[in-house]
Amino acid sequence: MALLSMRLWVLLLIAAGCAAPARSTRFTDADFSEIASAMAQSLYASDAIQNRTPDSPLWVVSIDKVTNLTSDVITVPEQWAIMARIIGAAPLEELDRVKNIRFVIPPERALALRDRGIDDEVDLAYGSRREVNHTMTATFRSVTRANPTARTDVYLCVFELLDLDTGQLVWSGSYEIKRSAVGKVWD
Amino acid sequence: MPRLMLFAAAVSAALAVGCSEPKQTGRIPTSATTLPEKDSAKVLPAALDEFADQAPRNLVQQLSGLPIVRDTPGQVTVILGDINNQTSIVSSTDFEFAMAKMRNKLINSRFASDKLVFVEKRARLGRLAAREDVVNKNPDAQKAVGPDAYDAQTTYTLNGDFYRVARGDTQTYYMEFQLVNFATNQIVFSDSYEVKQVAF
Repeated sequence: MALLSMRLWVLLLIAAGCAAPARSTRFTDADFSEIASAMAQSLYASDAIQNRTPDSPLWVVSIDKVTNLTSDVITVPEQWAIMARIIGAAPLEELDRVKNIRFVIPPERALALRDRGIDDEVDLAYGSRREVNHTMTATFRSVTRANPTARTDVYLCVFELLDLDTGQLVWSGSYEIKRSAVGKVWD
Repeated sequence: MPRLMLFAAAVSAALAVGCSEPKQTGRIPTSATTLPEKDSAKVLPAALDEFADQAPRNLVQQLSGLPIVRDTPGQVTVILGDINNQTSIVSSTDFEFAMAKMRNKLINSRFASDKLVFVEKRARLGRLAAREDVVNKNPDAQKAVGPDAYDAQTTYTLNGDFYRVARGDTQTYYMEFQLVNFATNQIVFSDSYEVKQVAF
């Protein structure tokens, strides 16, 4: 009888332990990957890009890291990684040849290379002919509701392509994620 | 031996049931309402969602009849305006969430984007342009960040007003979305949404 009880407890503990609900509403890597993939698809299929031809005015596009207005931690490397994934999914050669769109590295990256204080080939000429006229930005927001034992976060991730000469938003994409967690200690 | 096999089968079943991936990630549908949301006196995220869906939809439906469409040749400029949060308990960032959703829906509406041109606020545009030294490389871009960035007559702001009436555990939220002319401050379009909720 005691052995049977013990076995039943083991089974219950396995089921309960493995089925433990999430204890954090923080973004996961899978979330970032999903967001970047969806936004890349949305951007490259958008009218703003599809309607362009090789003779359209040249777009030189830079990126800025995510602006985190959520109540959660998204580290700076994570903020850059999300944007880098969208560029990484871009058919760069095709965009240049067929749509007259070029992506450049962020200005912070160019400056970091140029201003290292090392006398090498990466000198003041590096990026000297950089003429960016568009920037891709992203802003993450959240709505949080919590009680003493549980928490829910709804995240809204809005991505935009901005014409820096006119201020016009030429494309905007958004993605929503909702997460729920239990427990009194948050990640 | 049969008992051991039975126990092993039971353990496998427990693992399969308990360790199924969807239960562990914490990810839920955005339309789901959770206990922390119901327990809170703050506006339900689902209500914010409905408001963010309804207002742009109504604006697009009525756009062709609005004076800004009839009387103004060409496109008009729209910028995200002010959030007037009079609820006392809900953070303005929650309403910024809803306004951001609305703007995104309008930008992606083909009918609306034929007439409405959305621009970034001057301060943010200035910061992003300075990051790329755009103004020094293209003097024409100075206009977009200067005091004459917009023609006030054909520029409109999207404003949001949020109010709450509280009686015990019952909260009534009234949310209003307006399109306001920059120069005259005339409200050319208004849409409102009301929700009553009880926190348990």
